Amino acid sequence: MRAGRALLYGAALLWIAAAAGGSLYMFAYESRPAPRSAVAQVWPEQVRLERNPDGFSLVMAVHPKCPCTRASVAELNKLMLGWGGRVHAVALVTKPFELPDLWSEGDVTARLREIPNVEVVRDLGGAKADAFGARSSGQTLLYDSAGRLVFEGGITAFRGHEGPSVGGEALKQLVAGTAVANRHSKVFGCSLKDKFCPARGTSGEEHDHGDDGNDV
Amino acid sequence: METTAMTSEESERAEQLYQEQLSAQRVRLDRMFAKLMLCQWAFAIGIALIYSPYGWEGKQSAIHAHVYLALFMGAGLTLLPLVLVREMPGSTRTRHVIAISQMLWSALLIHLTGGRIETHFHVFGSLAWLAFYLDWQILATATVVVAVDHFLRGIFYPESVYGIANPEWWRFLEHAFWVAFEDVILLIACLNGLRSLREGATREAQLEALSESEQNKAIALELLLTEMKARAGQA
Repeated sequence: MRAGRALLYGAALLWIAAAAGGSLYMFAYESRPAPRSAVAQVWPEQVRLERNPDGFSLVMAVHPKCPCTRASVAELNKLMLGWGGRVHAVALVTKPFELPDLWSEGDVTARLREIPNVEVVRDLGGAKADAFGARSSGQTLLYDSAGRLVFEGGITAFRGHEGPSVGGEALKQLVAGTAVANRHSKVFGCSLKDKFCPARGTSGEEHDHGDDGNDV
Repeated sequence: METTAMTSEESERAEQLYQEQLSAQRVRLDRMFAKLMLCQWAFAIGIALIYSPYGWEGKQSAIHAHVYLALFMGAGLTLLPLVLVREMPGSTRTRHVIAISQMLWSALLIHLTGGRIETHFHVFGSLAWLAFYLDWQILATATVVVAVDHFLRGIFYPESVYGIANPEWWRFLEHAFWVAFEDVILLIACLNGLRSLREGATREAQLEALSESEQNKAIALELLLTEMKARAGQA
């Protein structure tokens, strides 16, 4: 009887801890954005990527294994379908130099390839993302026809969650030519850089940023 | 339904049968929810391992927070309902804990599946399951958990619920409306279920009384027959 009561109280304590602690942790985790980064205000020509001179060009930095990025890719798909070819998009799929090409292949990259008007580029050492100043997976930049940055941020409302977002709405308004309240939104995604080597490339080594990107 | 006047014994028996059947249904449902909790726990761990096994920083990976969340939060949400179902099956407290746990399971599964709109159906499915308890208070408890979750998110991080930073003040009501919409339907179903159960118990009590009365008549006839046979033998 006493053992049953002790089990009941123990389970009740665990339940309260799980309900309160788990909910708080869940909330903190999903609402914690990636740190902001200084992004290129003008399209960096050295990346040798095609830009749309007659309309908007969108760039999304992608970590191919980041689970949170699936939501960003799903949102990108919705945006691209809605725009129907009016925006040229480039997805920079990062890949560390020392790892095989297959490392950057997976469901995220496969889904990107299925999106119309999205050019998927394997970004060796994250060099092209570096040139744009993108540091986190899912970070999205929109440039106008003159190559000027008009939006920077994420297109999910919070970490790894699909659905309407401040970033997604801002992009829709910008492309539609209506007034925009936000030209920046929070980014929720894994870091493109190694934890201990944040300076340059994923291994911290110097690389020729001009020649290391390949279409995939 | 045509009803005949019941004696007080029949009424008491009908009430006893009603309470027994209602309690048996609730105990059965408690056990079903206990199994469901275990299935949800296994499902959550599976989802976390398949959908988001690792978090990444460049080429460095670590076990994703979702795996720990599914494992430990899932364990906490499952354990108390299991203990209560074992120790206090059919009690009001057990039902309320199950209702709260079930709604928290919805939040956890929505989180683990990346906010997929399809997973939100877990909330509505769970309300329907809880309605089988035939207890409107359980529906109210579950609804309050959903409402508090939305209310707090709406205050501290509206984007996480509405997708926009400054939602209209009435957005909360729009979400609440659809939960209330289902609640009304389920409430009607609960009341109908209770009425059916009571009618069944009344019929059963009347049948029992009738059967008892018929049995008494048969015994009386048999006694009379035996007595007549005895007299005829003496004559």
